[in-house]
Amino acid sequence: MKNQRDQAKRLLRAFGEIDDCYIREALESAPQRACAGEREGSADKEQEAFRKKGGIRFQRQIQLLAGLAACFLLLVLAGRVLDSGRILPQNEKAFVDSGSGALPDEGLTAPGAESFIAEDLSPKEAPAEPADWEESMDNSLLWDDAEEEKSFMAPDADTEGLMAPFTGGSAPLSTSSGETASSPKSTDGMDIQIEGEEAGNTAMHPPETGTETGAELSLEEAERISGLEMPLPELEGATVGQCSAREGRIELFYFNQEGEEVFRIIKEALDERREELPLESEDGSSAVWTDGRYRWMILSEKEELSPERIREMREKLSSGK
Amino acid sequence: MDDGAIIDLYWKRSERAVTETKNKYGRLCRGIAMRILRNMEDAEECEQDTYLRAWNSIPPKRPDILSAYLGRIARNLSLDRYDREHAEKRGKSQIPLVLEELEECIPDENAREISDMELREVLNQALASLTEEARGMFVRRYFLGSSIREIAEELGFKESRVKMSLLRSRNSLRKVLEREGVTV
Repeated sequence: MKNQRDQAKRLLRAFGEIDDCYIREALESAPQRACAGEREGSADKEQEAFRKKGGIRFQRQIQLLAGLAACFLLLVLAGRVLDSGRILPQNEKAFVDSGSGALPDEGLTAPGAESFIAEDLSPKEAPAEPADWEESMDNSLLWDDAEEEKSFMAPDADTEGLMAPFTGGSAPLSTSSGETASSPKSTDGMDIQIEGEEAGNTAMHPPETGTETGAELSLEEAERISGLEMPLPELEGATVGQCSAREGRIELFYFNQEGEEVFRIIKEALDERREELPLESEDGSSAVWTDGRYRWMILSEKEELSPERIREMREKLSSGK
Repeated sequence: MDDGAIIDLYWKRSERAVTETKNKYGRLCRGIAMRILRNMEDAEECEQDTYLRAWNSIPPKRPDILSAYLGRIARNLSLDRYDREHAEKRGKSQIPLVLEELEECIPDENAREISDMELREVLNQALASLTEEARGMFVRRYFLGSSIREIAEELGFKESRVKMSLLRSRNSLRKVLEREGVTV
């Protein structure tokens, strides 16, 4: 039997053989995410790290700029509303005809627009006015800048929007365009919003906050990045709030109603180039198993994972429910 | 120059490959060696040996991540040198402390000795289960040989937080080994 020092030396040597991505992750500077999709820290952790790195001052400047931009935007929008109140009676037909969401503006009106208008079209049937976020897309780069700034300051400005779980299976956190257009986005490159049918209609942000910053992707995109299909099991008392991905690995974060992370579920493709060991383990905080093609991990941050609970979660993952 | 171009130079057997490697990764390799050996002269020798080892191994190898590949070589060469020259006696290296800490990860019970391949797998599994923050500290400490203070300064945390995170990570690793019924 070796003595403990020899064993420790062997363990230390073995650290030299860990996966390259972990080495790169450590070699690169701390805030960078070397392995795309590796787990992001909670908003609180990021906020704290950011603050400690002296980012708070910069953050406040961004908050100030974002506030000014938002004020300017409100003024512009208010001006437009007032203008449209005056102009709409004249240009209503042209607006209806444009069909492209263009604002009532003579410059945008197609020639002969009036001929396209059904006379019996009631006001209720008329195309709805573009949502705020649609308007904002048309407005100017100013909004995009402001939005990006807001997203950058998200951890400090409002962690609720970033980290809070979905409340209920299908109720999105923020669905009204007015709210979501100004809601903060994730600040890092790997937080991905679950949206679309597969997530149970759980979109958290409007379309324009999608991939422009590379910060938020759909589950489909996460699956594309990872090359894996990921079931979304419904777990009692927890809902998916975030996911992350990199090639061959996808990770879901479940939150409770208080917005605290309670579970993580990780699916990782086994490396075909080397022999993978069918390691299985369970304890109160984690469960790891392989199914021949993938390694699954359930990690609990808050509560003890009973064997029954683990079995239930495994069954749901296997059945994809 | 990007990594792919540097590797191409190695494959073309151009000595410029070494120059470019030194320009881009010399500091990294020297830093790793310095953390382990705590001696500039030895660290510089290890750095040179790293280039030589890279020159002799590329081709046939084509590293996916050049920084990790070179870092791994520098680390292993430094550990070899450390063993050879009994740097432990100098008392400045982190290695004695690191070894002491790693002893905590080793299960007490008599168990089957794990193979190298299994050990690597267990380590990767344990790392995958850590948060990115904890993993960063763990790899810095046990791969790069950074001191607690260095990690705390680099990541902007208090030393106590780093220590606590490392302790938890070591416990996780120990649990994995115990669950598998293996020892190192």
